[in-house]
Amino acid sequence: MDELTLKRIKHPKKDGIEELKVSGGLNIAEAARFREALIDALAAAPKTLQLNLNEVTEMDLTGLQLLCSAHHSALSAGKSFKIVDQNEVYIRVASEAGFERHVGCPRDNNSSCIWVGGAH
Amino acid sequence: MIDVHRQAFKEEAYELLSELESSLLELEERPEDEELIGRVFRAMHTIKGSGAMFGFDDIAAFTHEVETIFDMVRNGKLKVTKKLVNLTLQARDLIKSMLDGSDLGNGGDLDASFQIISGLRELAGEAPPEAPAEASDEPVAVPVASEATYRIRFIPGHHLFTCGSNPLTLLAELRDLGPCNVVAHTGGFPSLEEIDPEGCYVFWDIILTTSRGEDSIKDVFIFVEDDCEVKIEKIADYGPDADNADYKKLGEILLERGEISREEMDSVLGEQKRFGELAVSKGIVEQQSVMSALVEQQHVKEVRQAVQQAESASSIRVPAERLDVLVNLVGELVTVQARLTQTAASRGDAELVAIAEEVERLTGELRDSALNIRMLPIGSTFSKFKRLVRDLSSELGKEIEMTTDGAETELDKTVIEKLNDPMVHLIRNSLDHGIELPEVRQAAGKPRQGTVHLAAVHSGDSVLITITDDGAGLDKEAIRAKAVEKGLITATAELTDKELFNLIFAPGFSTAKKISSVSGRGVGMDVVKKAIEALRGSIDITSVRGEGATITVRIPLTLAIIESLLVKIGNDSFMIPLAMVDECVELTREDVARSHGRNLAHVRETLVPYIPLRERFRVAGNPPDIEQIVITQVNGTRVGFVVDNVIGEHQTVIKSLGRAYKNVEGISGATILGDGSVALILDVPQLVQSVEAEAA
Repeated sequence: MDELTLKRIKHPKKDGIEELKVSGGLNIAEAARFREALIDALAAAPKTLQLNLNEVTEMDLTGLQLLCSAHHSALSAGKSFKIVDQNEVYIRVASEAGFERHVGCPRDNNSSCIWVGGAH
Repeated sequence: MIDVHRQAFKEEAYELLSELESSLLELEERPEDEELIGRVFRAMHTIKGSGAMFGFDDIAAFTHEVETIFDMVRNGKLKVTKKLVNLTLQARDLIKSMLDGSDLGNGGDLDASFQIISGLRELAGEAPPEAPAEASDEPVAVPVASEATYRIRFIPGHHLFTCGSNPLTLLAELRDLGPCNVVAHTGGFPSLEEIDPEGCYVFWDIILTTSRGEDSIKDVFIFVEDDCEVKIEKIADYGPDADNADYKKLGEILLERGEISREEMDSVLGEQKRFGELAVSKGIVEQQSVMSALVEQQHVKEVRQAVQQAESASSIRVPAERLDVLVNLVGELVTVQARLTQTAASRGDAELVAIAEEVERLTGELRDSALNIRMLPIGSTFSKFKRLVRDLSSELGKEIEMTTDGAETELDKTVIEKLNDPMVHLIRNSLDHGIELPEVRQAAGKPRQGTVHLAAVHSGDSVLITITDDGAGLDKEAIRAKAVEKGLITATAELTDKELFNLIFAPGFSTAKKISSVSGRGVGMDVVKKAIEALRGSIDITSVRGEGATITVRIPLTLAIIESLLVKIGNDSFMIPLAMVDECVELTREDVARSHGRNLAHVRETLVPYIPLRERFRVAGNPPDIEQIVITQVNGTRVGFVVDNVIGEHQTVIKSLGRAYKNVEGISGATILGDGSVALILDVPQLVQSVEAEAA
């Protein structure tokens, strides 16, 4: 299992975007750390928090739940939350867990749900 | 009624058993193939399940044992070995004999079943059964239910993750049971600040279609049922009455799931808008619940459509006798139609002729499709031979592989059935006499493993079946010596290879020095030849010493209708199968006089012997001045038949002569002509044989 690393990057070109790059295994053992990192990154993001999942090698339900939860928090803070660079690990797990969907949850008032349209 | 079902089960079981046999043989070659293992398991499983349902308890109990072993194989606990395949093949044979004997109340051979079960259990590392009697007392699994769709709401306990359970594996197990739609409910997650990162908040609606029954779903959740809430409901099944692809309305689904109340549903339904949109806009349900319900709706629709498609594309089972009746009736119709056409032509009534032509066209189409129904691919026969080769080669201590080609070639069902025995003889011969022992082969610089290749291919209105082996080939000297010894030829006779090889079809001819259990009793080849000729086919051998032999069997596609040449002798009509006819030449009185009573005609510098049919059939009256010789080719020799007139080609519907005339020599059947008179069909090979026998 690859160790989880979480790296914050200020987006070089566009202002207002904070990127959190996640590499390695995202599982229950790391869930608490991931949550802290998400909270910090969201607080630091001026407008948008984008999550780079390109180098995720493992993911479980706790990870998926935290993504949803982060979206929820971003909405209440008036910020946006999106996922960039999805890799096949993420796509497979989201699909196996039945997270892919066509409409967002009730809190999703501006159609920003990260699962809509499939994680593809 | 029960008998009908029992019969249907037996038919199905026989089919499954032959499929099982070919799967097992393939499995021996590719022991790692999971698909094949699955096929073997399913075949066993189905035989067990439906066997128990129709009261074949002994079969069900025995099959259960074998199925258990293959379940272990399927789960990777046991490896496929030659021994396992051997035992399973034996088990398959035993099940077959149980089925065969089931009508006689014969429960099968307890001893054999005990031995097979012990063998299998030994392989599985289990204790052997205590006594044979108890083996059949084992409880039989409940027959499997038919396909049904279930709605499962799976709400994991909050601490499920920390207990080490992973719901994703449970979902994967559910997917293994059948087509499955999984929708996660994600709406209730707290924000990052409040969330317990290790807690479980998600829950699922799962729509699953499976034929394994509700218990198999419960089994999936067996280890988590204390921590989770699992609700399983059957929402649809696909029995005969479920013929409607429409499924419940969205409102009904939500109501059933307890997401809305009846009053709420009615209040929404009062308005003319899409239910889902309305219900959400009224704030009765969450969008996600609606979506999940929509998934359910879609899932059931899709499965129902698939079931309907499968039903409409499936085949029906019709007893062979009914098909035979149909083909016979079509034969009658063809005859009557010929009369109609002839009558219409002689009346000169244009309207009647038009009708007759229409009837002719339709009858032709009807005849072709009726005959087509009886056509079967020869592949099923080939796979039977595969087993034969496997068993025989180990019995003979030889290493032999059988390859096939053209298994999809179609032949009339009756022809395939009658072809079976002669083919078995020919293959046995190839294995026994043709292919050498591994050591001998190696010494001759050949691969240890011999090959027998079976091929079938269409050729005009016939099918050519070839059996090729890469064995020792035919020993010409031995054949010659034997033929001289038997008085079939003189010691100085000059024979072509073809003529020499044809000698082995003589009755009582065998060059094998030692009689083995497989062949060599010298009854094989002449019986083979007779059987092939009874199918109006021919057989031919080519061989190169040391390199192998090829036996070619030519068989007409169907036995019901043939193309033939209509000829006349006096007022009598005869038919000669067109496939055997080479050419027709004239025979004048001068020709007859010139040959000095030796019945030989000069045809392009060669002498062709002929048989004057008028004499042979003792037809009264005098022949015309110019007669016709129809020259036929039988097994490589040209023989002429002298007739008065050649009328022309004719589509002949073959009628058997009936039991009273069964032994008439030289006639293989009869047909009815357009004017209602009868024409006899000549059995050309037999005529030639009997004339030769008289001359000798």
